Amino acid sequence: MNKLFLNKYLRFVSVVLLYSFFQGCTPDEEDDIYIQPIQTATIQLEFAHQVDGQDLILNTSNKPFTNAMGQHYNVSKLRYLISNITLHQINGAQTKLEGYFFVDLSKPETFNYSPIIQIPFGSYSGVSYTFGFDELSNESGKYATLNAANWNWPEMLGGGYHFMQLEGEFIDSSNNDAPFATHMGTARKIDSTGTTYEANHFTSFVPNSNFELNKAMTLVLTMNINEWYTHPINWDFNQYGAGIMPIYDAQKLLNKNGKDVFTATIH
Amino acid sequence: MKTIQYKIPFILSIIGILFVVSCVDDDPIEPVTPTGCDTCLVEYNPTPYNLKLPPFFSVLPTPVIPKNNPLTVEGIELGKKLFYEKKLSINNSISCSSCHNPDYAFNDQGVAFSLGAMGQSGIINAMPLFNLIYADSYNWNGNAATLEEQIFGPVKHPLEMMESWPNVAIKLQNDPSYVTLFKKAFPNETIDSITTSKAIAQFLRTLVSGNSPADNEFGSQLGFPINGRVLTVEERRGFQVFSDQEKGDCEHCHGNSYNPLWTEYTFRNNGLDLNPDSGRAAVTKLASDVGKFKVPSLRNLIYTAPYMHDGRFNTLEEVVDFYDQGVEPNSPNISVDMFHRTGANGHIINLSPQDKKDLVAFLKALSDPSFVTNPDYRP
Ligand code: HEC
Ligand code: HEC
Repeated sequence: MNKLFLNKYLRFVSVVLLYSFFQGCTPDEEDDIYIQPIQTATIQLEFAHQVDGQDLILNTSNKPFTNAMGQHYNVSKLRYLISNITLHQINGAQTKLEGYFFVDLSKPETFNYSPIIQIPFGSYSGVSYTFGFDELSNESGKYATLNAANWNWPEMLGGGYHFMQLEGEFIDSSNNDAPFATHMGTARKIDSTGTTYEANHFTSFVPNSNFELNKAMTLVLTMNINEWYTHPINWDFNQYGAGIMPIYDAQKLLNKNGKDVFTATIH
Repeated sequence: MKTIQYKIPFILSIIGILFVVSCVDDDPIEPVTPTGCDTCLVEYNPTPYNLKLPPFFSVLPTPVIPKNNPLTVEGIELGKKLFYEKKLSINNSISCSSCHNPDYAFNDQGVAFSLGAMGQSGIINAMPLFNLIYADSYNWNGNAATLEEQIFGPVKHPLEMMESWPNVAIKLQNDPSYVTLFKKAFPNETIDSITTSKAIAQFLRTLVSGNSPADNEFGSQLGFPINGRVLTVEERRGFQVFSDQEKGDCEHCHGNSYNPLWTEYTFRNNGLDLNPDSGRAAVTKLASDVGKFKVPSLRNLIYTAPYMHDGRFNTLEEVVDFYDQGVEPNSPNISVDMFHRTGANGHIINLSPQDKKDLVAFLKALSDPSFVTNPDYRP
């Protein structure tokens, strides 16, 4: 090991350890006597899901939901990936929640997070998030948990990870049950100039997500499934049902439609 | 001068360390005195066993080994002996290895339904045994949550070993070699169904397969050290067919180059039948789980024919033909991942003969010859 590095390393270690020395074994409350810390409160994060106000229930035998085109459908699976959740203070300060959130509607532990996050007291203008991973984070094979869940996006479509799998059945134009699989990820574009891959995440600021933090609170992000299928453009399951991953226009349309899928409630 | 510069922070760190250590809420450690145990004259202390995983497997979450059954050298040795032990069956005629043969990746040799202790036929295809530490449930319908629990099953199963656990315990207690091995592996515990299944579970957790040409291909792409050949040109084309959403589209269920398990252990209906067996619904009682079976790993297929939970296909060519043309689109709860595009024939792939050949070649390249010849797994 390089001596300079060793020296720096030891200094660092000693600072860290000395800090714990002074923290000592006293309970946290007593520290307040000496320092005036920034006051913080815990925020608990939850994801909720509905379809235009109806609860999203998986695997119903009927088709209880209706999209903007009047097509009836049910949902058998919903998994999605959210990252860069950021809480913005009016004064410009930001608290970013580390890591990603991989929500699987069949696993309640993935949408009711018991780990609670400490954030500073203050006035918040709202919450923003990235749907999927940005280019930097969307690195093939990087996340063990996602690999084990087969969450990878095929290399031939640009690699990285899926951002969403929303699946079910709809009643098609010939009045038959037909499958749909709204899978979202990198958008592959093939044209006369060759093949290119477009990052397909989006970052959105949740409307009306401002709040005043002076006590423990719960932040609920609610996804309205139907918003994937409208605003600005209505989605036709007969056109984009199964097998849409390689279809550039379908991928870009999800990006357009998705920006308003979440609303927030804070209590 | 230099040395002093080092020493000061160094000494400070030592002081710091002492303080951190002193902060631990210490439970006074009391000496363990064996009580009420008259066979404890010799003190045994099982040796912890460090399971070696292939370097490439670091793309996966670290597998969890249950706290109440840590791997030990002695436990694994005992578990291996028990796995090959015919005394576990009613008439001492079969062992676990009769249906889980190491030559065939711990699957039965070429039969759809294995024969039980009295020569009676089973009703579901035996499963190969490898990489079980990564699974979160066992059997085709996932009715066993842990390996220990799974192992309770076959011994008393009327189509398998047909023996009672108390009888197994008596047979083993009467065998002096087992008395010693159990004492070494589980000091202060008795020979019973719990210690027997714990020992076998330890052995099964050591069955790791991660050295196929496909592992070498995808592991080396990520810079991991490898040990053997990579894929051929034909097998590489096969992987493209496997991954292509407009061709095989096998990835959603069976995984990709970053998941060397080649399954995600979910339950799916891949559309074998219009009126499928209950499958997962036998466990969950949900109508929406009828026809769903554990997605099997595609590793070691060259050793594990016939295929599917009822062993209906004898060759991989038949399997590929099924996925190409034979999927039953109206099977209840069929996975949407069986449909490759929108429209009435979305479940038909229409692979070319060359695509099919390549795909089969790739599937075979997921097999790991070093696994079936590993001497550590044999008696
Ligand atoms: C008569 C044949 C037979 C014998 C003997 C037998 N098994 Fe099995 N094994 C099977 C069958 C069949 C299955 C699939 C059962 C199911 O899905 O319901 C199976 C499944 C398993 C599985 C689940 C694997 C997975 O991936 O989920 C394990 C583990 C296992 N057996 C271990 C054992 C052990 C240990 C023994 C000895 C105590 C044993 N088996 C004896 C036939 C047998
Ligand atoms: C929707 C999920 C899904 C997709 C997509 C899928 N499979 Fe499967 N596969 C399964 C399930 C579930 C089984 C077990 C079914 C059963 O036995 O009832 C299986 C079984 C198999 C088996 C038999 C393994 C064994 O040990 O018996 C092979 C081989 C196989 N699949 C290959 C493929 C190939 C090749 C593709 C792509 C052309 C593919 N699968 C696509 C879910 C899937």
